[in-house]
Amino acid sequence: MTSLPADLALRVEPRRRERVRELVRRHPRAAFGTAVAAVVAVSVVAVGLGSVGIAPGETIAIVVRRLVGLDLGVTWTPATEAIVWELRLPRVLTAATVGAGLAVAGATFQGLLRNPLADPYVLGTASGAGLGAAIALVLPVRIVFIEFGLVHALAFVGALASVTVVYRLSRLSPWSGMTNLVLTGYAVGALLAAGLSMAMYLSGSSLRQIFAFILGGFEAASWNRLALAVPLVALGSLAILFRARALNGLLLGEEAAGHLGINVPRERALLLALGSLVTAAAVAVSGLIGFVGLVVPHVVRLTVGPNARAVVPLSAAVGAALLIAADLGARLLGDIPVGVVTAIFGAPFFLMLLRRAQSGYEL
Amino acid sequence: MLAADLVVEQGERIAIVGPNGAGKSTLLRGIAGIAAPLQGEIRIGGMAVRDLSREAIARRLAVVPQLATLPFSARVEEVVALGRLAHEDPLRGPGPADRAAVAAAMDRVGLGRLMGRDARELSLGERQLVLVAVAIAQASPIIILDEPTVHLDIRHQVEVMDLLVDLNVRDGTTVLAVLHDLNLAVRYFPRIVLVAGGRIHADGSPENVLSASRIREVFGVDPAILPMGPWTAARAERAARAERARA
Repeated sequence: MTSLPADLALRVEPRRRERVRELVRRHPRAAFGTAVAAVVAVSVVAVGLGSVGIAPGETIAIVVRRLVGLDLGVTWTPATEAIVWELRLPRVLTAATVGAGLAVAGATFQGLLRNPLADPYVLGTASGAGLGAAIALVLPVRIVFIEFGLVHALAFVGALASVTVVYRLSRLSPWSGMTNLVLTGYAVGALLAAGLSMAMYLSGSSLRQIFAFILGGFEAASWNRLALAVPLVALGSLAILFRARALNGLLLGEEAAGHLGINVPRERALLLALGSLVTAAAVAVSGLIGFVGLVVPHVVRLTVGPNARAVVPLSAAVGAALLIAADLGARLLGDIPVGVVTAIFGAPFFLMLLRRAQSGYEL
Repeated sequence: MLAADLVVEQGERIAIVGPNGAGKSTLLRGIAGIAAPLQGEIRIGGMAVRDLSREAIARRLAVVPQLATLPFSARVEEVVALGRLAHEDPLRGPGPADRAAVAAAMDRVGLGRLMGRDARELSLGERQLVLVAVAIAQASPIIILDEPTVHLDIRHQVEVMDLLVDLNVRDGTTVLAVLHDLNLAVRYFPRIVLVAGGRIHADGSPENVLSASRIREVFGVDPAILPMGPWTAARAERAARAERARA
């Protein structure tokens, strides 16, 4: 998009898309409020749709009754309440949590690595989680503790362990911090992926379960798992938001950030840890869902600018809404894995973004 | 490797020159606290840089790099606002004082008309001015520039140099500029530090430091030294001071 020189500019009316973009940019808080309202609306719709249709009014009344004990004068059957409260609501809320977490982690890594093509998995978290889950499923051990199986635990540990290994290894190289991280992440990720392939080869009957984990999904969503995932994602995301200043400072580069007053080595370690924690929590609960962490922060940034104070919260809200919608789509399309839905819609959308992207990064 | 012993008074305007690889950038990075010295220490305003947090250093010292790459699209004022990172509230972000400083910095640099434009679309000269605006917005008493005129045409070179003189004379900002262009150094800076072979070769007025024999010795070229034209550094300074007195 080229701009006309100021003295030659005609009175051109900005197109509606640009006017909306300008509005959003100028009032980020209002935009966030709207996005949160959209998440609530999409949640209500998603809970209502499925093999059994449930009216939005009933959904809201059931939730209000369960949460605050208020009676809204709507009646419903116990079966409806079971579907809403035991089945659909945990699923929708898990999708919201995971969507928000992946989007925030994506925004963090994109800002940290100064690369708009980074996603939450770029530093080996995906391979680590996948390998951890595969090991759990291959081992002839069955441990379940309040609905947390070995799979979830090892996926979480695997994600964090791989990032730790990547971080430690990257510090051995004399190159610049971020380039190091990405390259080491690629190498370690490839190694772990080889381990994953080996585990899948040896898995025998567990192969389908491993595959289901890798594709990601919310079929097994539960309140207990949510109880652990939500605080991790919420607190991690808030902590990242508090470090927004550092993310902004990195815009002009690591050395420039240092000159501007940011303690780059410390912030790099902190943001890496927080982003990985949020990613690990999301992945442990729902497997490896792609594209959300890549596309959402990218699109948010195109609308609202690079200021992390706006990008992080808006990415969380948009990511939540998007994944709820994707999961709804996956359900309605015959219970296909949600990772397939995000890929089918995410990939072409991303290609479109790339086509319209501006070339060149030089300042 | 560089061995240096340098004292800079507040309000000075100094050019650091020397052949490639002499250690100019090392000196700069040492002063800015990026490179820690193996021996000795670097002090700003009596405080050792080693003991200061990055934020504290940023409030005392602003650095204008040669070029910076932007990974994402950003508006010019958003880039200039980065200069306020050391001042703004870490949680709430920039306040009215910060926004005013950004606008003032852009006006000072002559980029007010570029407000709202995408920083990645600017010309090289405009981009360099944006980086200078970032340093001005930082409102530090010392500004260090690393070869600020490398990619600029003559007009923008003069613009940046005039701006530096203005900042130094009007605001009392201490200015240290690493320059590759000896002509600019001699015209605009009353004190020149010549770095060569990993040490400070000479330090003083342009006539003393950049004599023909020294240029031959350090740079390996045979110079023709012509008498300076009407716009000597002293003249520029006098003009700026008169301007200030009039205001």
